[in-house]
Amino acid sequence: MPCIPKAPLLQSPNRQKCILIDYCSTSHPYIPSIIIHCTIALEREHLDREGIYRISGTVSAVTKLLNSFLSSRVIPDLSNVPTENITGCIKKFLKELRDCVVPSTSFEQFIHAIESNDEQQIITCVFELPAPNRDTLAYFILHLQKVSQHSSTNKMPIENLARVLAPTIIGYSKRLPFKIAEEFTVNSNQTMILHRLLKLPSVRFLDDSFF
Amino acid sequence: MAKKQYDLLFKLLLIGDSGVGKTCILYRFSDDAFNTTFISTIGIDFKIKTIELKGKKIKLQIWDTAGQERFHTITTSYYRGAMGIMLVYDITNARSFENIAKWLRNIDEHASEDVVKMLLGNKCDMTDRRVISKERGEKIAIDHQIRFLETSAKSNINIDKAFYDLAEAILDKMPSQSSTNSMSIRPVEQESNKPQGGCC
Repeated sequence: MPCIPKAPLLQSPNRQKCILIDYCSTSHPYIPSIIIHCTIALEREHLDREGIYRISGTVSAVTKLLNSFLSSRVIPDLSNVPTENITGCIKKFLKELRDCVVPSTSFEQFIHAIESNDEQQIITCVFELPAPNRDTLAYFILHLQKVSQHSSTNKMPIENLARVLAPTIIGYSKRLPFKIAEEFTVNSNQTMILHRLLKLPSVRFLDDSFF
Repeated sequence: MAKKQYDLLFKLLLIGDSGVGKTCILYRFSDDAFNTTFISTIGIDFKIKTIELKGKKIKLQIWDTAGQERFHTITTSYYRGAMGIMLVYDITNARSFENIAKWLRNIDEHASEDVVKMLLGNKCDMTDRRVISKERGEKIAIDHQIRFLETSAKSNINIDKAFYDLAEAILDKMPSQSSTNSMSIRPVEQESNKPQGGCC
């Protein structure tokens, strides 16, 4: 296990309002330690689990695990935690951020880049994100690509991972009152963005500018 | 009078954890097909099937929801109009069973009070991977006073029965309409508090 710097514990009683940087250490790379711990645990022995990231964990156990990550100085032992609770913990953490890893303000820009079908433009979008978002996104995409390499056993190719995780990772600006039909289009667009990002060659995210 | 293809329209909703087989149940019922691809539903989708029950043509509009937590804001908005809800778990996945309480709370919060609920333990063909006994399913259903069936979309076990039973329960709950049909037999209503008879 590498040394993973932990951000100071948050004092704020209302954790739901925090942004990504609040969970990152003060030095590069800006990736919340919870993401690193969970993905390392998953990559160690869970990648062949059928439906990884799709199947839900137990709601109460996931909440408890997330709380112990965020409110305790001791890092929870993940060695006997079921796959679904670890992935559930990552998803719940990302869901409760004030904004998504790809912030809602970048939604249009990403859509535009993807419609132009210019790989460089898509990468530029990622580079232009705030440092914690950029690092976390790049790190998480690389992790998901590893997950998809096991799709013959876990049945989670990138299409399925994109469907399952897009609403958690890709933000969009909600204009009220929103219509259900509109929301549906947004969902498809979110999935399209994540799918395209997952299709980028891994080496694009291993650039020196990342991490 | 405009001629309708059906007498009644019932809106049904399928809910439950990701990967328990909601879409497969719906496809088996609507198209009598089964597909082993493991693709998540985005948001919400629906299928229509018309059935005949007690001499009535009933159009079932069945909404299939995404099990992913992140879609809940969309999917819960569909609870309101539903007349019947099928809550599905997977007998090979203990966590999907443990989350039943959460789904029932969702129903209480978002669905109308008189919605007819049904619990389905899906994938009952996978006997070697079963972790939730039929008795546990029956017990939780009795505790919450809801109907219960074990199903298999793959082997086509109890799929039609589930939809017909649910539709019948909704039909039985409806105030008897003044129709040309004679009264259907309804064993639940032993003591008739409203004398039926005469024309209206």
